[in-house]
Amino acid sequence: MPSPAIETEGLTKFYGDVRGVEDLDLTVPRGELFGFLGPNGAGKSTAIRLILGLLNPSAGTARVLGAPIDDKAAFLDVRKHVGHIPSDPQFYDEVSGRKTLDYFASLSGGERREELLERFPVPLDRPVRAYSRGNRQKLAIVQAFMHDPRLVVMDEPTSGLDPLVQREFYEFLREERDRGVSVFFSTHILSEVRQVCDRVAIIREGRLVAVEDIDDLLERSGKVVTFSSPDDISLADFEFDETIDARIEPDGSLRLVVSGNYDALVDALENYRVEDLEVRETAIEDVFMHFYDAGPEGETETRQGTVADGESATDSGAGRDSGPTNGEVEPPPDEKTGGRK
Amino acid sequence: MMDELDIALFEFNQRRRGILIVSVLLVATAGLTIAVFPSFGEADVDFAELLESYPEEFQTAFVGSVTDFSSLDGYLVVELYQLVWLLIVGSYFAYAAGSLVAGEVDRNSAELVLVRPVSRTRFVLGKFLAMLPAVVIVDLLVLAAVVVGAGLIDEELRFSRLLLVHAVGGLYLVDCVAIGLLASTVFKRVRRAQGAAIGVVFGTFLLDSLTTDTDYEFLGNLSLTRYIDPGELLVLGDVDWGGVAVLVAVACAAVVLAAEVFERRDLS
Repeated sequence: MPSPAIETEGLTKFYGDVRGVEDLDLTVPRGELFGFLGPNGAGKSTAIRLILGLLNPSAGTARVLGAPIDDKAAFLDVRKHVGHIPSDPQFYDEVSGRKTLDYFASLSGGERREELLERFPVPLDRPVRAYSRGNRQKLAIVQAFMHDPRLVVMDEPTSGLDPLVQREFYEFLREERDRGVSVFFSTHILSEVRQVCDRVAIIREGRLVAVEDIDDLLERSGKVVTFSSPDDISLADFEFDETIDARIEPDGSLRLVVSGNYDALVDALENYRVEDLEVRETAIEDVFMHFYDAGPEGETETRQGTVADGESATDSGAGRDSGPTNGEVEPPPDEKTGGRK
Repeated sequence: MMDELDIALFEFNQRRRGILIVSVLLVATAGLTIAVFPSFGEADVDFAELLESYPEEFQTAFVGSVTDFSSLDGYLVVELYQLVWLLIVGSYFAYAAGSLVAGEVDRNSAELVLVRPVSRTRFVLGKFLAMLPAVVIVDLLVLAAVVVGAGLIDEELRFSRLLLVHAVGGLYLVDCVAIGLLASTVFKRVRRAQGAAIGVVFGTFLLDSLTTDTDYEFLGNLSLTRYIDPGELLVLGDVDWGGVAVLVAVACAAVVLAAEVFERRDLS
């Protein structure tokens, strides 16, 4: 069995007193699209830079495709098979896209370059200085994949891409995954996680909060039922084992999150006159807000039970109405506005 | 794989314009300096006397060991090599080299290179190598300008001695590059690295000049300029091989140290 794509053990980085990441134990299996989700400032970029050997850990270690990052020779060798898209990639302003790619190809190869450029075209002969954000991002995609890496590590790779290119990129990532490439990427865009990831690790305040299979997570997160009645609704009638959250909204209607046992729900509804009833899938925001809402640091971390463990799973409300395809956690004020519908 | 050569070539190509501009300026400086030499000799001023009226520190800094500058070689040592070459061109190369590594770290382009199978040591070495052709180009162009200029005013210069001053002078510039490179790995901000590099070259130049013939002369041993004497090289044809050895050793040590520093460092 091959070593995992990425494996970290107690990986810790402090900048002076400021925590980047703390005691991160994470295993990214090979051949998966693995999302790394967290709000801005959670330590995603620090973790990625540690894994790529750009930063030295304060404690702990990591292995990339089996090579320990502190074994210089082995880690140097394994980087032939690694691609990287940094957040906000910076190239050489005065150098054309073509010469930039020539340079990178001379250092690590570029056998898939033409094929990638057909898919993600950029104005090759113009200096990178004249590139739009989206073109720079496409150039970053090409340089990250052109040497046919086995593992690609990306830090918010879709920022700046317009929706069409973004969709093309998701499709491309799925194809790469099917070819056996491991992809590890950070994001704070929930819809991206839902559309692309097989699995997601959630990080908050520098610590790993959970690692979840996306399908399980969505299945387990249940349905949102909204129900209004001229009668007074009693919460107690709706407290089944499968109830994740139940509350009476200010307008007197009931908002319920349940994961199964709909028979019991139907039975309970029988006691009421029904004025309005809506059943919808849980928005992924509702699911993830749970992790971000969890109390002060140190109290709830590393819990694996996710939504099923009861309390305020859907408390947050942030982004609830934006629907399942458009959610972001804490969008930064100065970016992420151009590319997304 | 020869990653350092690829890195060197890429860096050199980005610096071609800068090298061209500096070369043109220096060739023009050399040409003008030589052009005024005939009128300098005819003028009714005793320059030896004039210079003696300046403070001693000034003389050691800008005149060096030359005593006779009625001949073109002595004149060139004072006007071109001592001041322009050692101080200004040296500072320029230290400054230019200050951005070699720090420039990429500061702008975050370094990470696109360093996630590839390129060691930090090779990266630093490649950046250093990129500056060597720049030194050679500037060195040879100024040499050519001096030869042509001397021919145009019908003055004789001994070509072998001119070669000596440009050979050791080129080595001195390589040292300035190495110091700039070291500063470039120590500091993460390009402005700081360049400031530090220029400060070291400029500062030690002054240190050498100000301590010569004082009780603190030993402090001047820290200066690169203590190990190169354009006057001796051009006027007398004497090579201080001990000094050359020090210059070579300093360049090597600075490059090795730069690589070591960068190997251990966090990339911002």
